[in-house]
Amino acid sequence: MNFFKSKPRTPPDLVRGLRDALPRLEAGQPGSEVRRKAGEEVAKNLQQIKAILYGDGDPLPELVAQLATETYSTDLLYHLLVNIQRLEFEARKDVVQIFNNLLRRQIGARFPTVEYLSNKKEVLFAAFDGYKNEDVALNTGMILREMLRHEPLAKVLLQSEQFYTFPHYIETTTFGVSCDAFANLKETLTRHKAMVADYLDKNYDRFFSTYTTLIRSENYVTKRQSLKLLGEILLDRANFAVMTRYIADETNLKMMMNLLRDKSKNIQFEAFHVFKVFVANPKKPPQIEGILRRNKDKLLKFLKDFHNDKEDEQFSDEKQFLIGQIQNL
Amino acid sequence: MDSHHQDPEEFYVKQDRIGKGSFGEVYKGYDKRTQKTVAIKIIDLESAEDEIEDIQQEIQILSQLDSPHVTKYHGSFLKGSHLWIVMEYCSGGSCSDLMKPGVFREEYIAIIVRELLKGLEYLHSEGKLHRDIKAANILLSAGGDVKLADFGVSGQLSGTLSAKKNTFVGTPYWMSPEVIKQSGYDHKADIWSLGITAIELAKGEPPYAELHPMKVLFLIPKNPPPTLEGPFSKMFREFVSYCLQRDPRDRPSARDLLKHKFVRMAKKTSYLTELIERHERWKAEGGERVEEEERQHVEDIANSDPEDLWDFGTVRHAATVGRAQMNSIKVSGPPLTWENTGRAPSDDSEDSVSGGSSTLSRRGPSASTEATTVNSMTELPPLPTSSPSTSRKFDQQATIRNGSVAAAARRQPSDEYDDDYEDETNGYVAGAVNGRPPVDDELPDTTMLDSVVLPAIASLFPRVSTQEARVALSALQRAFTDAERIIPGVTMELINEIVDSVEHVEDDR
Repeated sequence: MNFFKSKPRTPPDLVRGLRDALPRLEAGQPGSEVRRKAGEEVAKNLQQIKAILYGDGDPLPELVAQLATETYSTDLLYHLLVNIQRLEFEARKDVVQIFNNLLRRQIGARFPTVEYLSNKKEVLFAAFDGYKNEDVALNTGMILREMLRHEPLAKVLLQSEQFYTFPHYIETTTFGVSCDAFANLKETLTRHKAMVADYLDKNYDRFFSTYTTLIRSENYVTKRQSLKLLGEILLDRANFAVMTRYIADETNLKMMMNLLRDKSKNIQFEAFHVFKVFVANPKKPPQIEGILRRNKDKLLKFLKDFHNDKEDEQFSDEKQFLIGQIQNL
Repeated sequence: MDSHHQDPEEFYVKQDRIGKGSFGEVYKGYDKRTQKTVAIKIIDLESAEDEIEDIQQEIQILSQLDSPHVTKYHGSFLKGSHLWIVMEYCSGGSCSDLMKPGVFREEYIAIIVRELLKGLEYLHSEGKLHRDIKAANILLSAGGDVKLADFGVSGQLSGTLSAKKNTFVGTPYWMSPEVIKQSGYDHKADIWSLGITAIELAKGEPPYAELHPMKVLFLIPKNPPPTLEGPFSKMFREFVSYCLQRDPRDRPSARDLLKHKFVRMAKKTSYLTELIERHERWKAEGGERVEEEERQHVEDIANSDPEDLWDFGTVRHAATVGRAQMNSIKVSGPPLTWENTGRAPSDDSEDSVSGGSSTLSRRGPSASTEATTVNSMTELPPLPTSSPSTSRKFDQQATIRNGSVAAAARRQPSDEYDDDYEDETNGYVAGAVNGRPPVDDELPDTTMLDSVVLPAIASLFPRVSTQEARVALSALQRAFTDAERIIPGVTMELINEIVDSVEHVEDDR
């Protein structure tokens, strides 16, 4: 009989209880009593940890601090991620919420969980590996997105070999997961501008040769979204140097000119917003100017009939500007 | 690259079309692996007005829901530019369909409302809002289980419940005052819509159904809340009045409402199968065929001007084939013993008009706050490629969808320090778009300008071919904006006048 049933368990008890229960999720046979009990123990502890972190809108800082310290010292976050596919539906959601809360925890200007994770890169890569399993990919995707808000963690991913497996996940998973992976790729490439600009400058060839595979994808969504993101990256002032290189390359111009004639109107439109940068460049390299000049008449005719049904004033202005530029070649 | 994992036809067989939702079409189908029936919602992303990111957000939300009171999400797949969203199939149909033979008796409504409250209790505890509660979005399983469907506009509340959404979504007749005023809202907005839905189930239509949706947009915030009138029990009327309180803080939560006598006394859900049987019988006796002919009539009229978005003329036409007439064909055979009044839903308002043709789409102010050149294309009002008037539902059902939903949803799950997005602007867009109009409780007036007039003019752009004509339309937009600035409220007054005169024309007919 348990006389102390109502006594609340301390944060270290909860974390250790959870940490110890996780390996038992695959003990014994599937469906065995050991596993069932471990599952219950895990679910219960996750709920209690969540309750401490979120309080009733009013968490106790002391308990939260104890809890955080204990999760770091037991590597709980890593073990939660590598076991997430063994958890029940609601327990998976609890894991996401616990991660998000801890990642946002701030003491003055410091983010203790971010500092911890910066030294434990395997946690971030465990979240990234969630894309290998569609059942959990949307949960781990949310955790990854929360991590990528923090520059040190985004930098870890951007500079890793794993970063170059994004296209694989984007191309081989079903729509929801593929979009989630793309959203995280976008997050990595757009949130921390100076850091990304520096990276792209130093890794220009490798990055763009990989990125081009997305633009050339057979998948409608991948093609459309990656083209749109390319436009955003190139038009960001932080990426001026990268843009200059991109628009000096005639292969890129040819690709965009072909995409302007894609069968999808949306893809044509996204391509326009990259194409315009080549034309607007006041210092066009000779090979770029050559292509534009060779196609001058065709381009003028093409642009005249291009998306005339758009009521977007800015688009019309930009199109008129391009027509002017091309006429003056 | 290997993309065969994505082909939906490897796993699912698409069968008959069963409906047309707020976006895309819905088919019945089955899972090849389990033979289980599913509902497949198909959206053509090439013509969808929503950004792909917004659709993905909705899928993300759906994927995290698991409740017997909410239609279950099975997965989503891409085929070309068509997205298949596979959901639980509810063979009983929607309450809106089930009401076609006549309104529901109070005791059935009590069961439905109790189940809806359970669904809302779940959603709200998950920090999510439905934002489009109405009979058309309530489905019944074969056994009478009640399921909330169509999270087309559901948004996730940011981490803390104190944070309120600030977007304009839903369907006018079911919208709460605070949603229309855009003064920020929370889960209590769903409680209001539930109250309106209860009236809809009892009377066949929501309050103000006879009025043009535009007019309703400012009557709801202006007038005292509607009440349930008619031969209904005191506890039912009291329940509705609890839901329909102007101040959201005065409305009880879903959990509290579950303790109300009206729902505590309700019977088991299996009784609802009687509504399904009634509908089957009505169909067998030709109810749907007559309805089909009426619908064809509406489509003929609508098709005569497929570009129509804000043409008041169609409102007038549609008015001639409202639900009142559709149901005027009496079902023969056994008397409908469960009918409370023995009357068809709208018999109590002889000149009843069912809604107007309007897929309101607000020119999303958020689109300007996160302006990148590419985003500007989302500012287009929805071109009526699939004309709202041809949809299976009454135009009344048109759900407002809005660019700012996306922006709000994107900040989930919590945006305590999400202060970015303004830095995404770039050299090409500086100053291209107006800032967001100030949101003010006392000024629903600009709503009329932003959500009705400017998009209406914008919808004319594709129909003109010369640059000169486009310039003229731009001038018209500017004139409205200027007038509104100098005479605040003038747009609303003007629309008021127009709507009034349209209604007079109807009266004269």
